[in-house]
Amino acid sequence: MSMTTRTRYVLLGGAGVMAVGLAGGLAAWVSNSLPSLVLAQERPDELRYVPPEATILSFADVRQVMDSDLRRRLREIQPELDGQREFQERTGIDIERDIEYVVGGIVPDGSNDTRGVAILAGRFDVERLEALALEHGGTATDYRGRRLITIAGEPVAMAFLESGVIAIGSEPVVRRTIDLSSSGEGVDSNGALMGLLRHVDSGSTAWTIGRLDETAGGEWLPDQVESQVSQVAAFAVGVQVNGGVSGTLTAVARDEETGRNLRDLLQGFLALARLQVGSRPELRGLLDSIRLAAAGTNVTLAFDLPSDAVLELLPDRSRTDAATVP
Amino acid sequence: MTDSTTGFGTAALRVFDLALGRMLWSRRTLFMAVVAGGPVLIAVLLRVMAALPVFDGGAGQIDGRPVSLNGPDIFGLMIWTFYLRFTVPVLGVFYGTALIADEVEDRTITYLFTRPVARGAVLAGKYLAYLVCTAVVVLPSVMLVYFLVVPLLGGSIGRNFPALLIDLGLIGTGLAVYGAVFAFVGAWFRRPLLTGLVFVFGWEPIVVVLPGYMKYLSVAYYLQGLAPHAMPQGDALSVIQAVLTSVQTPLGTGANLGALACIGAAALAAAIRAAGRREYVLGQ
Repeated sequence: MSMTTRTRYVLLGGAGVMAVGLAGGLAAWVSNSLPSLVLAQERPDELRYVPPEATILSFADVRQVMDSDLRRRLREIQPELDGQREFQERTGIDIERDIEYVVGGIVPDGSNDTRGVAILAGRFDVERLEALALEHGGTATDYRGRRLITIAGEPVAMAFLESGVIAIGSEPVVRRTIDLSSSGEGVDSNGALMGLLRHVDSGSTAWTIGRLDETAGGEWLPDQVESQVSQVAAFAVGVQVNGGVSGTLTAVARDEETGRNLRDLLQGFLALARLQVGSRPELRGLLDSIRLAAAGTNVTLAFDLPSDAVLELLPDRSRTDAATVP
Repeated sequence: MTDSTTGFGTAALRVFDLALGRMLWSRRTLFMAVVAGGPVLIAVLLRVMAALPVFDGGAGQIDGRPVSLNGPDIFGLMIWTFYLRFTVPVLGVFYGTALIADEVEDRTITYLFTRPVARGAVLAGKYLAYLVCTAVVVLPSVMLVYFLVVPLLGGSIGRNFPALLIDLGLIGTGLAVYGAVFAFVGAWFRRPLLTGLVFVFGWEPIVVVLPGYMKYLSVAYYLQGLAPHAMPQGDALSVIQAVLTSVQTPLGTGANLGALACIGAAALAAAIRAAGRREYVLGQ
């Protein structure tokens, strides 16, 4: 080669920048992937009560939400959450004070139907809860050494799994949680589902992951929604609540082409929404905060809403209530 | 004339060796340095601005107010705006059309074509030199912009690294395909630069937003279909394109790559053939 020295320097310089950049990026990418392994240690113990065949799994740090600045501001407008009082009257559990965190699972039952269970961890007065359930016509029985409360004519059951942990949900699944407390083969062993946690930021206040590729995976969805998401194999949602709400929604498409279609569909939807937002200025903040990204089969929507924007999206209950008071 | 495939390859490599130095130290490189250095300069300015007190609010905040963009979004925007829509096609036009046209203009083509090498090998060698010359400037520019911009406003270098690899591959592919197309334009048309500029700034921006099949007669459609970043929606044309593409069935990755490979290979073959057969008339 008759290349001059300065030409050689330019080539080496360019190649050097590329090599250093690629090595640095690769190192950062590898170290970034490690938190998902660390997260495995941060998973709540109560996951072992959720059946391994669950197709959708959720977690919510209720205490963190209730102690957040957003909830404090929300309480000024809306002192009680929707259904909070009814839930307390029926179960005796005060969502604001009693619950630390919740783990929930949706389980297909083999007949194109799904059943759910919620595992609540917190501080519960077991005797008071049992007494309240009996007052409401419940029946308390022992099942494998655990107290199980069922209500005649209703498919719901409650079980006291251990100190500070109760399960509420569909009776067969609640019984299953008691079975699992001895076998220990919970949803933790479902690698395909738990692997979706890599799409969820470490330290998220709440998350939901789900696989829709099982036959009955999407049966719980409304028909119209089910047909739209039929090309989505899995999803992961992670939300962080503090001063505002931020989070990501990742949809894993069945193939790259579907992923691209999904991205374009969402992009078109967002473009249309931006054109239409003139009549709903309170939605402007939400739309402006949405970021769309796609890589391979993954399509990710990220959003970041400050508390003011969240409150704008909510109906102002204090004003509504004041207006209805005679 | 060489009479074997090996002879063609060897001749092309010799031309490449000679052309690379000339191409790299030509006045045109100054233009390329500005085009590739501009985004780096903007990235540096963004870093300087990020050091200002108004950015102290933390990730996703400027002056205490939330912003909807973060570092990876800005990087994606820069890839679309500066590289895919401008740098790649413009460098393809300026360098690709010049592969033969410059020799004609400088009246040096006679010396090249009277050498005992295939005429096509001259174009192939110069095309390789163009690829190396542009890649060695543009790809490091993308790399620098990535490391300067992506960490801004809470972005993660590690998490977005796969998208960077796709961007680098995409820009390399774009340079190769546009270069081949405009090498053909340079070898075939009388006013190649004007033809190339009309194609890049007149034809492509229009056909990619039009419904129908016209967009298949562009390079940008296939290239943009491979981009991992969401299309920027700052202007009306982008909004129209986003709306239209949302109701059309886009091509998959394989189809886009296949189309780009076919266009690049066909254009390069046509350019080599044109260079081998066409009689270039030198002006007075």
